[in-house]
Amino acid sequence: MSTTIHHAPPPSAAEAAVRIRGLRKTYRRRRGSQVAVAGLDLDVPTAGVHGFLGPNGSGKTTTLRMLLGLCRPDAGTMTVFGHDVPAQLPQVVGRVGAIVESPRLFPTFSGRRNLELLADAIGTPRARVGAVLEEVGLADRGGDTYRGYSLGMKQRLAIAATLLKDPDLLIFDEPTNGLDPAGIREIRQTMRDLGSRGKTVLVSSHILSEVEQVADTVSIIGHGRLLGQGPVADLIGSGAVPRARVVVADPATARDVLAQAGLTVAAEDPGDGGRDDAALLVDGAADPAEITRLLAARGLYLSELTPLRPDLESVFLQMTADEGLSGSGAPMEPAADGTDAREERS
Amino acid sequence: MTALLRAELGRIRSRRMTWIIAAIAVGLLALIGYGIATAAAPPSAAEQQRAEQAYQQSKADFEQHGDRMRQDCLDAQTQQQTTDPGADFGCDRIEPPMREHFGKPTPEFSRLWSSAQSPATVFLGFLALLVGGSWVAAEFTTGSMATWLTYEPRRTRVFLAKILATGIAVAGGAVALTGLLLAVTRGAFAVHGVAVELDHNAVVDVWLGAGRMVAFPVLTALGGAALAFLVRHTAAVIGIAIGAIVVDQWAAAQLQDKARWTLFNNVLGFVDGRWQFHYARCAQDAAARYGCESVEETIWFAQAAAVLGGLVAVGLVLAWWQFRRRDVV
Repeated sequence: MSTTIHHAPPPSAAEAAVRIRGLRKTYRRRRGSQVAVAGLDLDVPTAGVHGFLGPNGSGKTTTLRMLLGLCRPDAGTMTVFGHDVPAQLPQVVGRVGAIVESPRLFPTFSGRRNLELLADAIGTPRARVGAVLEEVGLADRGGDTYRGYSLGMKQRLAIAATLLKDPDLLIFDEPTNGLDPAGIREIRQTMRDLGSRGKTVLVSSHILSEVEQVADTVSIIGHGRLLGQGPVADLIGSGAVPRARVVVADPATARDVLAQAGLTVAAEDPGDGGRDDAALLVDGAADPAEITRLLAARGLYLSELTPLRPDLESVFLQMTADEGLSGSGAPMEPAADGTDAREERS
Repeated sequence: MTALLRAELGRIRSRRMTWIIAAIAVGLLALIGYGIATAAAPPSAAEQQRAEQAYQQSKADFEQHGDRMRQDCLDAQTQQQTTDPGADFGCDRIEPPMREHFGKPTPEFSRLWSSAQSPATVFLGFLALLVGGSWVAAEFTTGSMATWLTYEPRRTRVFLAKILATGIAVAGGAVALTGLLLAVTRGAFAVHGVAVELDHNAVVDVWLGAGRMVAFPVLTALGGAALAFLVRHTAAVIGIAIGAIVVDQWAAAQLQDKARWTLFNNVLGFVDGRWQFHYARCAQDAAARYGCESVEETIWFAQAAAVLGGLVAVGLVLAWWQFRRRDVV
């Protein structure tokens, strides 16, 4: 079942930084084939940060690889700033900076040397190397061997490498993987800064809180298909069922009363951030006052009523649950030959 | 394309492995140079004296017993011919001893150079294969190729730049090392005070040998790079190269005259400029006797160059075709 939700008209190919239609990719392996991307549609508006969400194995990295010409799609069309890719990628690659998966540069070269070689290849003056190292806070560590960098420094160097081109579109694939909290905050800040400077940042992640904090718009994919996309606020606003936390003296009776009124009621899991085991989670009440009224009519008086603001995580979990996906990993797709095959890394 | 080539040359120059392999090459050439320096030393006065004594003794022996030795040989040959009419004991080659067969010969530049150039070229060829193979394979195994392609997605350009950079870098190194070996050889003669006398043909041979010493590593480096594009791993490149030599040697033993098309014979034909190999041709004669004779085959440089050049060219085309089509992860 697909629950694609568009909360705004998709931008046209000319307006969109990235536009993907009907993208498909199947990996053929000796033990069967594996569908990584299954007819994906995606629109990334120009300027701002766009989160590209999906469980592990949902096809995010494969999609980005195809966008960058590293993998060949089986079907579908892709445009970057109105240019068909991969056919016209050479015309537009100067406007695109990307880090796919972990940063990968020459381990035995210094950070500065790695950037100088990239600058030489794209005809960027070497003076810019110093500027981008400064920009990512590596100016005084540029002479160190890349192999000796911490993961956070490698990530920052990779971002510096993408900035060499002064690109209009930056693609980051799971940029905070393996980083400590300080590193995560730095990367998040960098993405937000880039977005606020009018750059388009496309960041793929399965860490929802991270995306919610930096993204203006998001796309959610599962099983290689789009499940929903739009501005974060819109998606949260209408993509989730209204929920309230209710504490009463007699939760068993309250539960019956609310259920009879057609609301969905569950006991809050005390281990899930709850304060006690008497709290109920009530879904489906458009107005919390309705809960008060129903319970008061039966002589049950509230100790506490807290409307719970839906977040991206709840939207994401709801969408992926609808698709039969868990938040931590995609179930196996049936392979073409009838055997099961798990995608190693999409 | 020029910027890309310059960047690729910078990358190959910056690799530690490139310099480690260059250091190994210099070490091997130093060993060969030591051998040259030893061989270029003229015989000492004592050695010359001992050689002269041995020569005079042998000459006296021949003057005294030579006729009898020749007659004994002819008698034995005649007796053998009663059962084997074709028997030839080589009695007409029993001749008086010659002075130059005694003691250490006077060093000759062209001979010493040739004996040093052949093994040096084979060693350099193997090391160049490592340079070309490891440099391209490392790009895939470290994932740098994917990063690189996000800067220059035109794969044909990337491929050409890498191949050209490999060829240029290895050619540069091979020219330097060949020059070094020539200088060491010439220097050894100068140190020992031995005059270098070369006629026109000898000069041409020396320069052709030097040219082959540059060209062969370039070919193997390109072959290594092509293999690396295909298999994407240094260990696989080395494994395939070693496997090819083993299979080739086995095949050469089975193929008789067709062994002129085997890889290693053509490598030696290329390195030496001319390579002779032998095989046994066995047959039954009219009298139903089965016998074998040793047949000599010569592989000329032109054939060797065509075979090796063709192989590398095919490898490069396959590598280019596959690199354009295959996903890069």
